[in-house]
Amino acid sequence: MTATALPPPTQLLPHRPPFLFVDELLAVEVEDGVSGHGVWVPPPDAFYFEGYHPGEALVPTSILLEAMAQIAACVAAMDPRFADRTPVLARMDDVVIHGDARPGQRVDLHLLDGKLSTKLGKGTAVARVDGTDLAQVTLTFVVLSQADAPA
Amino acid sequence: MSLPEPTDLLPHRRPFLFVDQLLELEPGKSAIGRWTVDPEEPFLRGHFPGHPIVPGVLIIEALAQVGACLAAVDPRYAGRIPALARLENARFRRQVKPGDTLELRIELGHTSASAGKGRAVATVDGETAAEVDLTFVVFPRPETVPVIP
Repeated sequence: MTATALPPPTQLLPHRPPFLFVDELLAVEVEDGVSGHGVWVPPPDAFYFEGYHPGEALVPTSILLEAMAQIAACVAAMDPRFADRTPVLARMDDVVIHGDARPGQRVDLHLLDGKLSTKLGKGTAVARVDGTDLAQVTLTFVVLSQADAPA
Repeated sequence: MSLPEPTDLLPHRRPFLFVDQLLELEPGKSAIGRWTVDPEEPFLRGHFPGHPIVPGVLIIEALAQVGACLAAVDPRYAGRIPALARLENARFRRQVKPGDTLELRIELGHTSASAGKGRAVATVDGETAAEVDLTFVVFPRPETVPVIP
């Protein structure tokens, strides 16, 4: 699917600023396994830069992990089987942190080798800046029907 | 024994400081911190509009901050800053909402002069909200790094 056909993340996720960390989806594949690619540029005035090591602006690792979970949730929402369902993060495994993103840098968010069943989604996400890995995580989501979703 | 304030030990400040108070601090062993979620936290505006829930990653952040407090009082890491290097077995088990008070507990496992592991659990009213195994590495403070002309 090409970028021009892809919806904005706000059509796929309930997240909104200042806790939305995918600016744009560039590619999504849901035919044969699921994968996707999105981009995020952390704005210099973001709330997390105010209090995380003041004076040295770095994206906190926890926020980078959230961005990787959000790219996975975007891709899951593109699968027609999950159009009316809500993925809720249940597990993070094998998290390796190599570095930090800085304000204004383009962060590429990739979901690799995702798998979806009717109740679970799983996949590995990677965050990169200039082609260098910053972090990776294996994510597991439980998929709730709208009736079960958090009120 | 009077315990230090989290801001005495951490470089973090609001709105990215998620430990209000330390309840126990046993250097080299364990720590317990407490965080009551302020309904005005900026992240709640976007997670989610109309139904605020504390993001699981920020519960992990809060646990890591208690771990960083513990590292800060460890004589082996004196004057150095810990950084997260790995996370394993992070599990999210219960929703946390504005006004909830989290008890944040970490127990150190294997440690060395430059790295350590800890098992961390966050509870609300005695129920586990999130848990994770943390690995941190310890870097020199930036101001102690020699400046190469």
